[in-house]
Amino acid sequence: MSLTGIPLIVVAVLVTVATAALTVVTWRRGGRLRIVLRSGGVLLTETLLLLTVGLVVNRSEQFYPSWAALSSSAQTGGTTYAITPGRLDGWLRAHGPAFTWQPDGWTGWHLGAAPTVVVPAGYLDHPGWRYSALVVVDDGTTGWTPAVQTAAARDASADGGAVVVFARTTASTGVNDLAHALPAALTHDLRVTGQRWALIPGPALAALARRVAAAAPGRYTAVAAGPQLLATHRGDLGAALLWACQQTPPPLAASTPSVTSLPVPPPKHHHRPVPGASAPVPAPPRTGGTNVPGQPGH
Amino acid sequence: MSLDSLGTEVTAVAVAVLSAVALSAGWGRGRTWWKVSFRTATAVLCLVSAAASGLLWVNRQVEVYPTWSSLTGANADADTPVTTASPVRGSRNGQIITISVAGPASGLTLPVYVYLPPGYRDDAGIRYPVVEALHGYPGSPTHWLKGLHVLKVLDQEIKAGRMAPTIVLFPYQTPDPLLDTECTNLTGGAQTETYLTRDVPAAIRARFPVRADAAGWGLIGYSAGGYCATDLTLRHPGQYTAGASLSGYAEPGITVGNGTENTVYNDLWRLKHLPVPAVALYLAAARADGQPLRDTRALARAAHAPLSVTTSYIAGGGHNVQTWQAMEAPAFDWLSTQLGRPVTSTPPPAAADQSQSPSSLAIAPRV
Repeated sequence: MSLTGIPLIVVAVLVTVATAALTVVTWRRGGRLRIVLRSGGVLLTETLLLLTVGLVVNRSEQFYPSWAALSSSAQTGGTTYAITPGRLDGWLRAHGPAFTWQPDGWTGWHLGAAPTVVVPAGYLDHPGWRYSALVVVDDGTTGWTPAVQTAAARDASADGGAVVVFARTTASTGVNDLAHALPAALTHDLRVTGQRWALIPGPALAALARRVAAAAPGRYTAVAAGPQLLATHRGDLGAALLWACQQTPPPLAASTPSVTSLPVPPPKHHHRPVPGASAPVPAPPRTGGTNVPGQPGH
Repeated sequence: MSLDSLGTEVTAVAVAVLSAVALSAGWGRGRTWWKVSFRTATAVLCLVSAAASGLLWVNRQVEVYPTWSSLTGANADADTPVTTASPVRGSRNGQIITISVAGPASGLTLPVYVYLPPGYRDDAGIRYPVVEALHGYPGSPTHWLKGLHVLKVLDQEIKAGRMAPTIVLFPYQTPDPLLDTECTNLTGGAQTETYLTRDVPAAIRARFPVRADAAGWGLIGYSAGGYCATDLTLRHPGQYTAGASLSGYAEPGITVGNGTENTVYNDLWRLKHLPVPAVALYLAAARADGQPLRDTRALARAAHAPLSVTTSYIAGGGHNVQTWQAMEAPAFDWLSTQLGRPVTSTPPPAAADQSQSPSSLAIAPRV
């Protein structure tokens, strides 16, 4: 019998009425147990009355739609899972935090040279953390030497750090190269998040940066513009990188996995999220439904 | 003994039992006038105490009236603090303090509970991200503290590195315990939206070291608070960058007073008819929770770039505290992956400090 069904409410009403009637009928009976019977009858009637009201309210508001929901608990603490190491994590131990990055397919990105990558201090000390990425693009006219870039990346680590990628563009560099190809390779090689990165264009590349950000919604949520772009004009790459870093989330361990059902089953494994529990929605431009009348108060 | 304590409820049940026993034992005793008076009084006491027991149990579930003063006071400002008055610097654990926020823009004056993360200091030059946590209706911020054990959850997530140190606010969305505003500006009534989106942020920025930009501000809420989180994130992208809705709705379910509950306060209508802001939403619903589930799916279908939506569904569950307990830790974690980090006030050092730079770069192998 459903917790929110009419049959249960009908049964509750009938039992309540029957109990009340029985209490009245037996009021003057029972001999020495009369007081106990009377008290028990009154209390039972009151309890059943409250229970019936509760069932009616629960049917209306759907607080507990099923018996399972009523009996469940949410002991979810302690369930964790590990982050997959970046492919270059082991290699980085021997070669340091700044390197020239040549992933498979990079020659197809139409860059002027292989990108330079700088991982923040502590990257290898926290193998369970994932980092935001800051992608700096310049067309070779900025005069940023590898030394300047590395120093600026290090300075940007003041607030927890991020993985910084320096990419030199050419006239052939396309939006997709920076919006999709480079991020896909980076997420394979290093422990970076897949979203909410920052893009720092050189002085002449602001328009390209805007197109790249628009082509990958959610990927580059911060694009250096205004004062930050002016900072790059002045050659103050450190200031622009620090601003960009502050717009991004900090390095974080993997989120507590979402509970997939209640009651909560005991975790079988501690190293993988349950697939399908949560997923970014591709969000097709479809028209949503309208409000359904009679929504319960909430 | 507070109004929402177990002791109060046990007392009410004891009174109900004793009044039933008294009614039974004294039914036939005394003269006529005494019998009538006694029977009437004890019968009324039976009904009142039984009803009180039930209502106290309900109040313990939703925390509409967490204290006696909130029951007798004219509004939520009569509530008494349940927490410490001033923060301890560098505390190993998170702490909750209570402040009163007088809103010059909204005209509302209400208490706000403020969670300060482990290690919080207001003198270290750190500016923290902020999350406003909104309660359901009926309810109060106390439900976050007592029903959802948010202090323990936040401490746990921050210490595990799954969440950045964040200041979390627990304001009222009900200026009166029985006034459901759904975080809207009611026509001719409470201006709760203004209070939550202008007065509270301004007061917090003035009193705590927090980030001033939208990248550092987010919203979360359950039930009606879930609707609030979604709606305010969509309506105020200049103030908030992300919102998490736990069992929330797509529309307010109340009459705002000028029909806007069907237009600009209806989030499905907004997504269809208005420009979509570049914010992020996390929509969680239990599959057994009918209307919130339908609304979550409808919002996810209606969403389009640059808005991003992440959904999370729980098989079973319901519209209850157990479901929100299961949802809250992942939701807070998700918010931290969307908000800007805690930042120091230190000005950026000169970029051209080349003395410590490597003279050459390694070349990574192709993998």
